[in-house]
Amino acid sequence: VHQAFVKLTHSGSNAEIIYVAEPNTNKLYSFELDMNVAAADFGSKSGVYSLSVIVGDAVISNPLSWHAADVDIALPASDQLAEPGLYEVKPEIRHVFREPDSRPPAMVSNVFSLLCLAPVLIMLAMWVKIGVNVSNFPFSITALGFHIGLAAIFVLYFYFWIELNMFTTVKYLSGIGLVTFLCGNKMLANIAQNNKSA
Amino acid sequence: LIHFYKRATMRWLPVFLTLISLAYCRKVLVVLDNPLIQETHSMFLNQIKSIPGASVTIKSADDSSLALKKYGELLYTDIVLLAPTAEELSGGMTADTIVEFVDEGGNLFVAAGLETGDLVRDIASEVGVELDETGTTVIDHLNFDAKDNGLHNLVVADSANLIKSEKMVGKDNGPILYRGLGMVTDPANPLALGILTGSSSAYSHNPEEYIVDYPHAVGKNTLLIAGLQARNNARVLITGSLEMLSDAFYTSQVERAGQPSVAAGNSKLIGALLAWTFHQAGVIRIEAVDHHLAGQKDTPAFYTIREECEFSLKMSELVNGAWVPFKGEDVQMEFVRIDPFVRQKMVNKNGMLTAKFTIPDVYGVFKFKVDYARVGLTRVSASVQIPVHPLRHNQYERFIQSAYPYYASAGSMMLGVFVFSLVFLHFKEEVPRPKTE
Repeated sequence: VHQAFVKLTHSGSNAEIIYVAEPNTNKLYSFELDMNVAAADFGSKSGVYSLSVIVGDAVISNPLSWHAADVDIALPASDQLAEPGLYEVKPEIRHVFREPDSRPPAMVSNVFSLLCLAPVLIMLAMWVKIGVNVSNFPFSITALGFHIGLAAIFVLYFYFWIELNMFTTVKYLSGIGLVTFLCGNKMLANIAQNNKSA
Repeated sequence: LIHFYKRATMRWLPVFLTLISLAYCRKVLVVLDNPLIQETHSMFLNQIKSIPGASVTIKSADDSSLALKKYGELLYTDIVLLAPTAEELSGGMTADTIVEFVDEGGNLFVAAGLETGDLVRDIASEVGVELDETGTTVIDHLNFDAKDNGLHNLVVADSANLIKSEKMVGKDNGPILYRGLGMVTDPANPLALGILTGSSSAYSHNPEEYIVDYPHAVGKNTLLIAGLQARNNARVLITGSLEMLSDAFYTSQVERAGQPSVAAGNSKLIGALLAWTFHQAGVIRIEAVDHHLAGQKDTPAFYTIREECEFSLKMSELVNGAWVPFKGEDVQMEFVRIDPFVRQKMVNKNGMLTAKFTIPDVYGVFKFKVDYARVGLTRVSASVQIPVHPLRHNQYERFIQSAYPYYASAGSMMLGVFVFSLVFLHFKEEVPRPKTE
């Protein structure tokens, strides 16, 4: 006969592999399937294959495709990752953001905050204990100017930390600083003079 | 006054003629190796002529006025080659010049036959399709038509053997009558398409010789109609049977053993494939690419990491000569810096596709990229480049709990200096009372 094929159809994917059966001298058609050689054809699709024999010729009146058997073929799994083809939807990628660095528990921060506040608190407490006063405060313009100027400088530092930039800060600082310096200079001179005369 | 009118018309005549020629946007060249084809394939030729805006030129293979280019410009947009037996064409048209025509964007429809010369074989192999030798034919002992003349090579291909793409082959197709050569394509070639295959029992071989070793094509690998969409979206369609395009096959009934007779689906299928090949169907394009921060409208000059970004574009499809919104649901967008960092599906709202995502926390120059390729559609791509900056020095998180000790120490120091300056400068020592007796 002209056509004597053996067709193996994978039950899951309907992939087909067809082999030709050749006749020997006794007109017995046979084909050999050497799995070592032929494993590549199967593309590592293991499972149940239905084996059909297709016999056809121009001169025979009843060509046939005869489902002869079901063959269970186990193939070694393929190592290659199937790359998506040109026309397929590619896998989605979501970016994994870097985890922020871990921070110590709030308790640790609070304890150290208190430790940092401790010196000034101890100083105030000691002062109260030994008795402290500002009785010599002169209430002059220079003294008021100096202390208010000093407070203003610290308030300016605070605002610089919150929202100002260096340019505006230096501008204000030069103004306040000059006033504070002049007042402070005069005030210290006055104090020195008072001490000398007393 | 009449003299003035005549001169004005003469001035505008060339413009008028150019406008008329622009209305014919498809110039089709049909090459025949046998003038009788005009009669035997009249329905097929009418299908070509009825393509909207087509101006069809029919020439014979040995016509000396055959030419593809004039003064370096292509004369035609599409070629239909119905000359399987031609070994060469006149006018300097060889397989190489025809393939060059495809490289420059021209579409090609080629028919081979039971006797096929080297010209069509060379063209086919250039586009990745291997035709079987002359003397062979596609044989199917289990699916042949009753009108077959004994060799079982008038095969019937079911519509289930068609490529799964409605844009290419339409839907509800009837069985196809075919008599001709079998073809194979390399499965590793991603651009080649097997449009109509034979059934599992089909094979391509010389009917008068016994099968030794392996036939050229066997089972579902036997292609009856093969195609290729090149990287410049030019389309090539090759059928191994000139007869399947003939009026006889278009109008005949399919009679298989043990099945009722059905009208052949050749006419409908070839009509759909002609529309696909000549860029009337399955053509899409991208318009209006845009990106901006979520909630805003202007496109920024750069993005900063971790911002919410929205990318959108408009895609249209050519349907019946008009551009309508494209309905595809599987368009993907990539955010690429050498490799893609983000790849996600775009939401389609009546042709406007949008994707919303967070800019990765990697800085550099990125590209929004869309590269959409599906079977039967033209391949479209768009890309927009945009830098991504890291956080500026004043964009970081502030007033962190772990920094409270530092705030406490600085604040307490400032307070301490102020209070201490007051006390130190203006402290009045109590004068110790002199001891009195």
